[in-house]
Amino acid sequence: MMVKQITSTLISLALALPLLAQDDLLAGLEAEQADQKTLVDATFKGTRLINGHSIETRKQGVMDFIIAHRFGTIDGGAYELFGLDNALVRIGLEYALNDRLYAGAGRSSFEKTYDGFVKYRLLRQSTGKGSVPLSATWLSSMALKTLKDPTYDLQFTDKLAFTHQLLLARKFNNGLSLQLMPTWVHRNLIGETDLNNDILALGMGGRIKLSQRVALCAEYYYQFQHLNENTQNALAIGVDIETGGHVFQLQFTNATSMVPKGFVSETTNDFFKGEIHFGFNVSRTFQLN
Amino acid sequence: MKREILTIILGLITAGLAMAQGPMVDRSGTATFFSEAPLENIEATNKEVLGAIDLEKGTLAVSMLMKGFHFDKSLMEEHFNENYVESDKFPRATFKGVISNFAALDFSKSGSFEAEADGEIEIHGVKKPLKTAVKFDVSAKDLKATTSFNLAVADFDIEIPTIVFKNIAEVVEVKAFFNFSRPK
Repeated sequence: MMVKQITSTLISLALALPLLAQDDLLAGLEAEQADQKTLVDATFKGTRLINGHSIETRKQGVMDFIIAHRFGTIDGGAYELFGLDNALVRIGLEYALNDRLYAGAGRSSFEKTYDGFVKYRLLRQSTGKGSVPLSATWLSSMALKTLKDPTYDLQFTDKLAFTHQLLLARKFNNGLSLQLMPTWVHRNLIGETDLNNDILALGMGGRIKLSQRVALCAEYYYQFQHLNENTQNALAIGVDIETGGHVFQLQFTNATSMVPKGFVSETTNDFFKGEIHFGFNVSRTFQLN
Repeated sequence: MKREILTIILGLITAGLAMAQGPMVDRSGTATFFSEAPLENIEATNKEVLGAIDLEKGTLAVSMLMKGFHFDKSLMEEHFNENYVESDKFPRATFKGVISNFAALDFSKSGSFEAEADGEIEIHGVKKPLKTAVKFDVSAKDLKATTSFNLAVADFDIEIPTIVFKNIAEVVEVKAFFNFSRPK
């Protein structure tokens, strides 16, 4: 009993002591803050790594308007101005319902595709007490191809494809962030020459900051199964430039499609034969509330 | 059980007494900064500022986490931390100083008076001397301190790129408020 009393008195005293013992007022205050848990933010500049999503979502009440272009392949040469004669566009609108839940929809001119996605931040990298070493975000995306096909009478559900991804990322320091993306693509209907309804892929990518506002990014999706004999793994190399409320992303990629099921499993260009699209994403952010 | 509670209370009283001789601390002080520029005004508030004042020695200290600053636009907050003050590398801003006219002041009587704080401010890893007027409001139950001063962003190695030059002022107005409650 006695021991207990002495201990609790000592503990109370010890709690009162730190500030007393500090000759230096400031050192005392800093010691109080040292263990505070803080979230690591800005692992990537935008909600897209290049073609695919990054772990980033926007903060509650933010609306993002994204215009993305992919030009024709640069091997068309000067006659097609290295692909610029031929542009595909995706227009998208996205909104952050809260700091973790993010949803958006878009429409691509390529195959007249509508797409929608939901993203949820499962884990957020943090420092300090009870810190989490990495960020994890779940992405589910749906795509509806509406390009008319006169040879088949397709039902609505036949035109749907789904992509689910677990995005795992870590910001190692201010300059380096890496991301892994285990990916599952499922399409309800496949063509005559296609092999698999389901395709598993592993994406990997990252960014290196060249300055406070400019970053170099790379992204690669390795497929464990292929849709058919012509598909290639998607590779992209890009530069992010940030100016206030805008993020400009310039990229070189062999992928034509700008929706997940497309660039992961339908890419047919060979990057190393020069079948590369130049393209850009421009994101403009609005704070709605 | 009763005895244990008694000892804890006793311990707390001892702690309280000990505090009375030590510094007074406010853990929820407020700091704001305001930037007035041609394109947009930017205001941010931090309500988790730690402040301490030692009325025996006349010393002051302030420490705040940069990530504690909140902006109207969340993207501004991200840019502030990521591009300007580099919060990962330099997590906090601090001030450490003395009340230079301390001997002439009486903190035991209720009333308002001005004092001068003289010390060193550190932001973004850069230390600069800072002299600022502090208004004290003394009452039986608490001690309030208010101050306001201007800081040149460039003094702290914080670069503003030309592309956002019209969005961010070169000199920002900083205000801070503390309410130190007297130990009972």
